[in-house]
Amino acid sequence: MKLDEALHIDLGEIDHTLRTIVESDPSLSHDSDIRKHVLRLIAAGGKRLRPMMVIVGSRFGKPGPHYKNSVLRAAALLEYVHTASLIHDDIIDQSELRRGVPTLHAATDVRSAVFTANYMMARAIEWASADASDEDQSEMAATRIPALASIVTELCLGEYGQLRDRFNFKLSIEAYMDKTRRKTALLMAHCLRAGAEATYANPYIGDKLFAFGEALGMAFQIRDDVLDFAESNLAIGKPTGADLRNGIITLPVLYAMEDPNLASKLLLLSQQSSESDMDEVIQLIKESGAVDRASSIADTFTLQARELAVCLRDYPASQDLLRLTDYFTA
Amino acid sequence: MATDMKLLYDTISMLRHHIESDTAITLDAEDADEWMKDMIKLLHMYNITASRKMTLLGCYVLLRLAVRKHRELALHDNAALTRSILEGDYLFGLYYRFGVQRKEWKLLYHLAPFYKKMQISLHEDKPLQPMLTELREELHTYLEKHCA
Repeated sequence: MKLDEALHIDLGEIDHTLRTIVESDPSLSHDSDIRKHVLRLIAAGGKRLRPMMVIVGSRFGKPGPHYKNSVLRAAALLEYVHTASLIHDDIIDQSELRRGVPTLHAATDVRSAVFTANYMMARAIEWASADASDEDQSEMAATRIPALASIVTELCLGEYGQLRDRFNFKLSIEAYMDKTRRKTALLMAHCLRAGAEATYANPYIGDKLFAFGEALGMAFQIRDDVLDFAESNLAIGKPTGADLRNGIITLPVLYAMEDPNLASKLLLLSQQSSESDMDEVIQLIKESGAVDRASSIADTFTLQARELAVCLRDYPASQDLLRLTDYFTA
Repeated sequence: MATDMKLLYDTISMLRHHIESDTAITLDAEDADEWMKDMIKLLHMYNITASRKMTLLGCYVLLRLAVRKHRELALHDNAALTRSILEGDYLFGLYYRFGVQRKEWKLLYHLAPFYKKMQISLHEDKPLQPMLTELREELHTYLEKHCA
């Protein structure tokens, strides 16, 4: 069963909301390039994990008429922020394809992609703020949308860390975890808490959901790092060890560095290394226990997420947290 | 009237504390242009605390700088391009974080539609001067509404 079905979430409604944001913008003409780019990105699809997390988080709050307004607004805003950050990441990483489709800068040009992404963030904030700017709102309600917009700083800091530490094989595990938290896990954590806040959940529950999202995000990213060493990547046109080939230091690589023989080979790698040198080291990492060790750390984070879900067992929606965990670990 | 450089120096000093060292973004009060000096004069026309003036000027500085970073993309130098994109994104996020922390979120709401229109204009490669004029007018409107 698909995740949206398991969670009883209507993906069509999410996509409709995502389209509405740009289609309802009075500042854009019907034939504007930005409008076309954004609608094309939405049509290209995506798992919509982040909006789904917002909706799951909202189920821990008070029932009421919040769904259409606050919940969907936060869900759509965070998906726009995520998509915009991917557009900029693709430029930085010089990626020509995403999910087999040309990236926006490849299909247009860098300037167009940069400002389309900026527009997406700005328009989503404007759209999500439509009710939030009411004068008589509480401080907490009034600051919810701008606070979500400020998540961009964390995503940037994760990217800064990744760029700074390209081919830095002496990176500490702590620094790797910090980068992973900022680049991936915190956005997921914010999604769950944003949903809870949108339906006026107890702040204590919001914090528990934040911790759950953080643990799940860490497990998700480390598992992604592990899968980078899987042969199955070849089927989607991605070489095994693509991260390492790009100088991105992941957890399996850091564990491999603990083996003196492997470390001596890893330390010789650089941007200028040949494919065959890379192939040799990647094969050695796969044969070492490094990938399994990293996988077990992902399992530890998954277990942490499960325990947090169990803590919230008084809420029927805790079952949805377990469904999310199952999906992320399948 | 001479420009109140102390307000500018204090604001820049405060912003430096908000910028994480990982970013390597530098702020220099000496870079202040005529637009910035005009903004300082505008702020002094209102009876608001020095702290609030610093917040409003800080938001203005962050927004201007975020736009500048993305407007001046080094398309043929990937390292510089990366730096510009990341710095612009970071400063935009910081503008929101700073505005919330300093309790000036109404300004963030007020400027959101303008900032969006600015991105559309930048996408269309329109000149910057009219946008800066409009930004000044938007801030003037905000000050009249919330600080007069």
